[in-house]
Formats: sequence, structure tokens, C-alpha cells
Amino acid sequence: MPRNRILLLCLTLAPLGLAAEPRALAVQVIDSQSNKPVADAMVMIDGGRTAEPSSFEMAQKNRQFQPGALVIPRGSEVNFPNLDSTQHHVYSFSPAKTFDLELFADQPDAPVVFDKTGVVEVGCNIHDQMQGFIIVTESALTARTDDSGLATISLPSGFISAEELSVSIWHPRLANTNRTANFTVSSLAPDPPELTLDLEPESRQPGRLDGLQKRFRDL
Amino acid sequence: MVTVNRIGFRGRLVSAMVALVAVVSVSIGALMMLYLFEDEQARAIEQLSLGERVAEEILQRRTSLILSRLDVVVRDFGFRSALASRDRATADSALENQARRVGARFAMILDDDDQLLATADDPPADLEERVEALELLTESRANGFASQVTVIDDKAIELVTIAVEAPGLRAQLVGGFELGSEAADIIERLSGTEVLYRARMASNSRFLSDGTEMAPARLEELIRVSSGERNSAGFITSDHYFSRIITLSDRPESNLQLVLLINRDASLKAYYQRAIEILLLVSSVLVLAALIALIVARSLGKPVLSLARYAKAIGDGEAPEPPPLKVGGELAQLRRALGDMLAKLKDREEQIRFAASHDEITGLPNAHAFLNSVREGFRNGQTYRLFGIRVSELSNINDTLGLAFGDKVLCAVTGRLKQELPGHAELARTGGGEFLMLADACSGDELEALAHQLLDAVQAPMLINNTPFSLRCTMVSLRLPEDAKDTDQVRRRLNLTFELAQTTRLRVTHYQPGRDEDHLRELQIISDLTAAITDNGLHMNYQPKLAMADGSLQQVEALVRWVHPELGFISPEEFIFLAEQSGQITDLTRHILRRVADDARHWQAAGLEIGVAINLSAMDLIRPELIDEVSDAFSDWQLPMSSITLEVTESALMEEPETALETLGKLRELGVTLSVDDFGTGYSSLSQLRKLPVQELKIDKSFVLKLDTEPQDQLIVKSTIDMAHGLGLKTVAEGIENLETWHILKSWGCETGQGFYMSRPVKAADLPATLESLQKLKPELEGSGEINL
Repeated sequence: MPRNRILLLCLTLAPLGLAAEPRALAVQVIDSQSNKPVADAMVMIDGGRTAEPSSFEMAQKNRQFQPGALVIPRGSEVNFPNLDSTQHHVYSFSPAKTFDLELFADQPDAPVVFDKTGVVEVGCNIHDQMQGFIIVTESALTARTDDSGLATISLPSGFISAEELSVSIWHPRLANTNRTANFTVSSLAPDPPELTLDLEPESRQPGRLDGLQKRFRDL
Repeated sequence: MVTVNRIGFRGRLVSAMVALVAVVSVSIGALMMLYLFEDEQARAIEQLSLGERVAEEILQRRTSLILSRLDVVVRDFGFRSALASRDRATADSALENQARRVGARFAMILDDDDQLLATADDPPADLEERVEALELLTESRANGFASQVTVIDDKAIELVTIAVEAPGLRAQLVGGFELGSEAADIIERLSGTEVLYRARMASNSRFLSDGTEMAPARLEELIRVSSGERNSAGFITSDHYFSRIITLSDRPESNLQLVLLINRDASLKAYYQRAIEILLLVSSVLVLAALIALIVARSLGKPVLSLARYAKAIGDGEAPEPPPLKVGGELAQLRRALGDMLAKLKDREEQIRFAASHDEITGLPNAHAFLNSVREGFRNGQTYRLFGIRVSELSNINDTLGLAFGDKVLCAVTGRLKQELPGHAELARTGGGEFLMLADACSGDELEALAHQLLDAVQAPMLINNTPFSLRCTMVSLRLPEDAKDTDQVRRRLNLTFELAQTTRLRVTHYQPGRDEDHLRELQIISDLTAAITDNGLHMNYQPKLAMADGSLQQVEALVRWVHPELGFISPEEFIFLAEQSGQITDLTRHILRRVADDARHWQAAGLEIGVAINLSAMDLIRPELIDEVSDAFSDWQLPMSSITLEVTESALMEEPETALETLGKLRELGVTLSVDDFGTGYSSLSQLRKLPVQELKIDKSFVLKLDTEPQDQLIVKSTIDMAHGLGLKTVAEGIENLETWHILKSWGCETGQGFYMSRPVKAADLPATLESLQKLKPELEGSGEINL
């Protein structure tokens, strides 16, 4: 099945004139299939300042991870507080961080430290439909696209002269959600750059084994 | 056509019925066989369709089962953990464990970057490529699962791929499951078809045997079957199988087919069994039909045959009773028609018989009927007197007064005869004016009285159509059975007697016994003479004619002799007379001329210079051809032509004097000597004799035989010789029997003598001897002798 091609439009707010003046990079993500802007895409600009580790939370509420996706600096720790009445078994086999928080209620014993960059997919062993993503990045330049698909990132002075910028984008509907999609954009472009991504259709979310289930039901 | 005609009515009926039944029953039988065959085929096809559905269902369910098992496996946390541990040994062992659980033959796990995460049970080396080629991974990544049947190491393997998806783990598990006899057995059990896996390659195809060996012939056929043409529904029919091929995988590198087979042997056996049953049924129906046809034909044919016999009896002239018939309709009509025919036939026969036995004009019995009565009389040994009357001028009456008148005359004669005949005497008209009567035997005065009575009755004046006239007729009578012993003799002797009556001119001529025998002898002579002429049955004898002056032999007279093989010697007078009567004289004369010429040629070649004298018949003289015949026969005559003498009787010259005279003149021109034979016995006219171109008179021997003692003969002979000399003719005397006669004749100047005293007639071969003995006689003859008159 051919994948939808998604056109990602990166709008660069033109850094007009003054070098000392702080500037911002705007990108817009548009689903090429529907030609609609894509909201909630995590946009990261590589390089530049390294973000300071910090502490984050990914709660489980109503048998869902809250928030569903989290961008954290490398070395940060994440807590997985259980706000549901049932227990959860939060785990991940992602190479960036493999962990296993066996059945627990309330709060695990300790937060999980993510010391490698990459996308860590988080799931619950007893609730297959639960899915969360933690994007561990070195960069401090991150943003999330709004409903119009726009993400604006303030660029530090060190990037002013840089013409080529590496942009990583992650979205839960990426075909492979275990990695980011990487782009190169020009910071000097007068218009926000347009970037394309291959995204799964929305209906694909979240059941991966729907076909199989359906097959079994049919029998 | 001929054959059909030869077959009788019954045969045709039977053949037609049997043929009809045969056609019907054979058609029904054939139709049944066809239906059976089609039914068998239809059932096989249905079964194969069922097999196909079952196979598809079974395979689908099997795949689903495998998938559901695998689904459990890939959701197993421990399994996932083992995979995620990135420890290959752990992952392999975990996969092996799970593979065993789900019954996979082999398994392997690839992550999304196609990195091998684990293998179990030694998957084939090229499994990754194969899986890639089959697009199993692509499909599974999209759908979460995929399956495909393929051939690996000569085994039908179903490759099933299922996604392993866990937080942070994206991989595909590929498991290989053998489609072994287990699946095939289930399909076989459910559908009743045989199931075989078959790998189809570009170059060759082979069956994936699961250990059970197949007979080579069967294998051969199956290979042929599966590569053969399939019909529109995808079924293949061959000698022993109905088959259907389900393609499980149609990729060129792993084309796998499922061949569903139904062995036809059993159904064919049943089919043939049924065919034999139908054949038996058809045969017994045919036999039954033939029997029924025979019975029906018999019942139909019987009356026909009895009618045929009836008709035959009618044809044979019997008067049979019509056969009893149980059936009506056409056959009864036929019987009626035959009965009518019989009646009419009888009537007509009666008429014909009457017409055949009666005279149309007088209503009297005809010759046929009369002879029947005569025959009847012979058979009964009765004696009769048969009278015959011939009306002399009937044809004249018919010519002058008309046939109707003639008929009236006949009727009048009939009436008169009837009146005069005794009551029981039979009267018949047997031709023209001929009436025959069969009366009681009588003789003497009684006979004469009756005969004259009848004759008078017929000859009495009669008045017909106011024309008075009288008839003249001849009457004959025969005694039966004294004068004739059968009807042939009756007819012949009756005719003879009528002929005799013409000459006797008696009122009533009676048959004279022996006449008929003479007549028969003459008939035989006439009929045998032709053969005697052509077969040289006649002999020639020659009697010397001597010159009286010196007794020298001058000529011989040719005399024909005939010894009949049955009748013995026949006198020349008799058969020559008959030959003249029958016209055979022409042939006879020609034959004699030739024979004499031949004989003379022989003796002349031997040095005998002797002439010949040949007798001619009166009938010869009126034939112009005679001249040529004479000149032809003697064309190479060595002596003077005058040494040939042709002797003609006086009477011959008198019958047609002018023609004879002309012939004689022409003969004379040939140079031959002409002689008047038997002179003195006929009524020769001396004035006629004067005109004849003859050179010789031959005095009849009746005057010469006793010349020496009869003074009257002496007078006649002497004056004849004188007269001849006076007319310038020479004389020949025949019948000289003693020396005295010779000397008397010699003294009278007769030139030539012939007689037994000198020589009897001899054969040509004996002529030299005769000449010698004549030589001895010569002195006696030469002398003047003692004449005592």
C-alpha cells in the first residue's frame, strides 16, 4: 500500500538584517495526501546549544499515556505516575532505552533516566493499546507544530551564519515511529521551508494488528 | 431390391419390427449410457468443485490457525524481551522454543532494517531473499501479517509472516509450515478426492511425494493430465482420472499447485457394469421383439399363405373351397376377389374350351375335338367307320359369292349331314370344306348305302339366298382301327385317301392298306437323298456301249446306284422319280455330272479313251443352268466333246418342248452328242423328232430283249433303225442279251450296242478288266454270225 506523501512546509521567518538580533525559524508540516497542515509534529533543530537534562512526567491516565509524546533532552529523567485505578506495566524495548517497570500503581520506585538520544517507544504490557513516545534529543531547539502545522523555533546567535540547518521531525503517524525524519533546510530562505514526511493515514492509529483481528473475527 | 424381394412378407415384417425395436432400444441404451457418463462426469466435477472449496477453506483455516498461534507468540512478553535483549543466542533459543510450540518447520525474525534478529531450526539459506521476493515482509509490514505458499527443498511450505510489534521493537517473524499429508488428508477425507502437491517449474513439473510411491504409469498419466488442456471449467478428464488443479502459488520460482483427483476406475467399472446390464436388457428386448414379431407375422402370414395356396390351386385349374379366414378387411376382400376370379376363370375356360374344340361357323366339333373322340375310341377298343367329305368348290364359292355365302353353304351341308347320320355318329368340320364323320363300323352293302346316302345328301341341289346350285365333293372312308391305329395315322391316311380319290374319281374311295407305308418309304428316300448326294452315298456304274461294226468299246453309260443303309438297294427309277418330284433332281444331276467327269478323268489318265453317256431328266432340260453345269464338269475333257452323250427320254422332250428344244440347242453348241433315250415307249411325235437337234436314237430295251425270238419286235426295231437312218440319226440298241440279237442288229445297220451279253454295268475301277474280257469277246462280235430269221 503506497504511503501518503506529506509535504512539510518549513516557513523561515526571514532573519532580516541585524546579526545581533535574535531570530526564529518557522516550519510548517502539511500532509501531502490531504494537503493539510499536520499538528503535533515535534520539530528539532540539531546542533547548537545542548539542552540541560531535566525532569519530565509521562502519566498514565484513562489507559493512555499523558502526554502521548514527549521531547526531552538527553540525560533527563522521566517519571511515569499511574493516575488510573488499574496497575500498569510500562516498558520499552527501544535501543535508545530499554526499561521495564513491572506492574505498579501510583508511582514507580524511581524515574527512568534516558541517557541516549533516539526515540523510545513506551508501552504497557497489559494494555496493548497504550502507546507513548519519548524523543530523547541533544538539541534544545525544539518546537511542536500548532494546528496550522507551524512550528517556530527561536534561533540562538550561533546559528545566524549557518545556512544549512539539520531539522528532525517526529510524528506519531510516521511509518517508523522509532526514528525521526531528518531534513536539511536553509536558514536564509525568505519563506518558511516546506518539508515532506511520509505519514500513515490517521485511521491506522492505533491498532497495528487490526487486520489480523479482523481476519480472526471473520473466521 | 432383389434381396428384399426374396425376403417374404413375414421376414420383412419381422425385420422391420426388430429393426424398429433395435433402433429404439439402442437409442435409449445409448442415451442412458451417455447420461450415465455425463452424470458420472458431472458428479466428479461437483466433487472436484467441492474438493476445491474444501481445500481452499482448509488451507485458509490452517493459515488462520497458524497466524493465531503466532499472534500469541509475538505478543508474549518474555519472547519479546528475549528478542529485545539483543542477545542472539537468547533470541534464537526463544524462537526455537516458540517455533516448536506452533509447529513451525523453521522460523526467523527480521527487524525493520532487515537485520536478522533470530533464527530457529535452520531456515533455508535463501529464505531472506525468498521472503523478500514473495513480498511477504512488505505486506506484513503494512497489514501486520502475510502468508504465501512456496516450494522449499521439494516440500510444499507455507511461509507465514507476522509483525512483532512492541514498544521499541519492530520486527517480522517468518515461519515455515509444511503443507504435508496432514492437510491433504483432511481435504481428501472431507471431499473424497485425492490430493497431490505439485511443483510446477518452467522446465519440468513434479509431484511432491510425501513418501508414498506412485506407480510409474499413474505418474505418467498424472503428469500428462496436469499439463494437458483443461476445459472451460478448469477440469481435466483423462483415462483414469478426473482432475482439477488449484494453483496455490503462481510465482515462476515457486509455482505450487494442488492437484485434486478422482480416480475414475471405480466409476468406470460401475459404468461398464451398467453398460453390460443395458446391453443385456437391449438384447433381451430384441429377442422378445423378434419373438413377438414372429408371432404377429405368423398370425398375419397364415391367412396370406392360405390365400396363396388357394390362388395356386385356382391357377392349377382346381376348383378349391375358399379357405376359412379369421381376419376381415383386406384379406377377406382378397379372398372374395379370388373367389370371383375362380368363377370368371371357369366361365372363360368354358368359352375357350368350346372355341378350341368347335368350329366357329357350323358350331360342329373341330379337328382337335374330333381327333380326341377318335383317340377315345382307340382307347376303348371300339371299331368305327370314318367318313370324310371334301366339298370341292368351296374356295370358288367363297371367291365368287362371298364368305357369308360360303358359310351358309357350310351350315347347309352340316344340316344335311346331321340329318342323314345315325343319331350317335359324330360329325366334325375339320377345315375348309372338309367334314369328318365317325360312324359305327359297317361294311359291304351297308357301308355303300350309308356312303351314298351321305354323298347324295350333300350333292343334292340346294337353294341359298335364292341361288340354286349343287356341290361336288369327294368321299373317303377308313376302317378304324384296322386302317389306322392312332390319330397321326388317321390324319395321314385320310389325306392319302383324299389324294387317291382325286385320281381314282370313284364316288367313295376306301383306304387301301399299305399305301401309307409306301408313302412313308418315299418320304424317307426323299429326305435321305440329299445326305446321300452330299456324303457321296451314291455309286456310279458304267455299262459299255460297243460299236457294232467291230465290237470295240466306244462309250460307257453312267448309271447311278444307291444302296440305302436301311432300305437296301433302291432302284434308280424309284429315287430318280422321287428326286424329280421333290426337286432334288437338280442336285442329283449336277452331282452325277461331276462324278462321271472325275471318274472319266481317272480312266483317261490311265490310257482308256472311253467316252461317257449320261442320262438327263426332263426337269434338267428346263433349267438354263444345265448348260453351265455340263461345260463346267467337262471343262478339261481330253477327248472330242462328241464322245460325251447326253441321253434324254422322249417324254422329257414332250412336256415343255420349246424350253427343252432351246436347252438341247445350247448343249449341242457345246459339241456333245444328244441322244433320245427309251425311244419307242413314249408318245413321241415324229414331226417333233425331226426338229430336235439330236444325233442318236436309243431303242428301248423292251424291243431288244427278245429280239431274236419276237418277230413283232424285229419289225419295230428294224423300221425304227431305218427311220433313224432316214432322218440322219444313229441308233443305239440296249438290252442285248445274246449273240443272235447282236448279229441281227448288226445286220440291220444299228451302229451301237449295249447289253448284259457284252457287259453288265461295272465300277469305274473295273473298267480295264471289262475291257480285257470284251477283247476276248471281240472275234465273236466281229463276225457276221448266223442269222435265222
